Amino acid sequence: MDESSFRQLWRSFATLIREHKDELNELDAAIGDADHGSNMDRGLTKVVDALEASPEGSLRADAKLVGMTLMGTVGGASGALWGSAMLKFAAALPDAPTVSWADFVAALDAFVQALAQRGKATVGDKTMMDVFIPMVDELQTALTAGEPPFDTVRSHAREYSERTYDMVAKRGRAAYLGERSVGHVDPGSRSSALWFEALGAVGP
Amino acid sequence: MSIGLLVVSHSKHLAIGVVELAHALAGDEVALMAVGPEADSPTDGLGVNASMVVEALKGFVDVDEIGVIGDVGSSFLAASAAIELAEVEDRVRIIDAPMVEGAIACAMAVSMGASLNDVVAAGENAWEVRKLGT
Repeated sequence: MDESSFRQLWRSFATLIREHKDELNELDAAIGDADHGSNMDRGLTKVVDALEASPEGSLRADAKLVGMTLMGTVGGASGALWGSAMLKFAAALPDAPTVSWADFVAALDAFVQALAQRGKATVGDKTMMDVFIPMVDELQTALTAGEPPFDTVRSHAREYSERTYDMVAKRGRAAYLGERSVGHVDPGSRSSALWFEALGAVGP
Repeated sequence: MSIGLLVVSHSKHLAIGVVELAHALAGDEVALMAVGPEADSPTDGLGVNASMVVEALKGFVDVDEIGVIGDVGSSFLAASAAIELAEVEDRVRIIDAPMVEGAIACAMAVSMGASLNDVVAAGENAWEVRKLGT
């Protein structure tokens, strides 16, 4: 992946979040405080501006900028989780304008490890982990098998997000709802699926 | 070793109220600081974020060690991200306690000269104290 694709990924993600802002707010209204779409939209608008204004040459610097911007502008769990995981992702990326797909996926694994460490959630807890864990697993498996990874996995993120519909929330505010959280897609899993959709658009 | 307590809430008003109450019950000399979003914060007044906690940790200069108390889950996420970001893991602890009762218990422990370990234990023990007897 080169730097222009990396920056395109964040522009695409910002656009997708904006297009789905109302949907994300509505999902959040069911089990949270109805601001996930607005919250992510505000943060990603700032991310796009920040990347635009920053010098090119380092994926690590770009990813760090994304993390710091999200941490500073997105409130609540999403800002802390996306922000701190992006900083780990940044540390795993080269201080250079290109990265192999294998190394990119390895950095994504560091992202997921950081999410797990920070949020203490795993598959089945009705969170963004229900998308990130299986998606990164699939990317790693496909890469190991020598397949073009993004062909096989690009459409799966939405399915993983939909699976949260039947789950009982175990983490975050929705956990206070217990069984009543069943019957709603987790908004964090939905926005995470949009990130993979954006990644699919720039992947090989 | 002087110990300070950081109260992190989704509402700055709530955090300030907890600090007031803890000061009233444990004494004004206990170092307490309130952190929360304000109307003009970059999150648009919605929720606390790690940057706010980083600022507070940096501003808390007159104490050696800091215990962090918060309200609901994402305050803890913001706090743990901030502690890592500010690289102060060696002198800052997050305390798993109910915010109001825990802040009071921790502030009283601080006022009695307890170690940070004992302050943490006092906060955690606040979960066990029933309000209508056992």
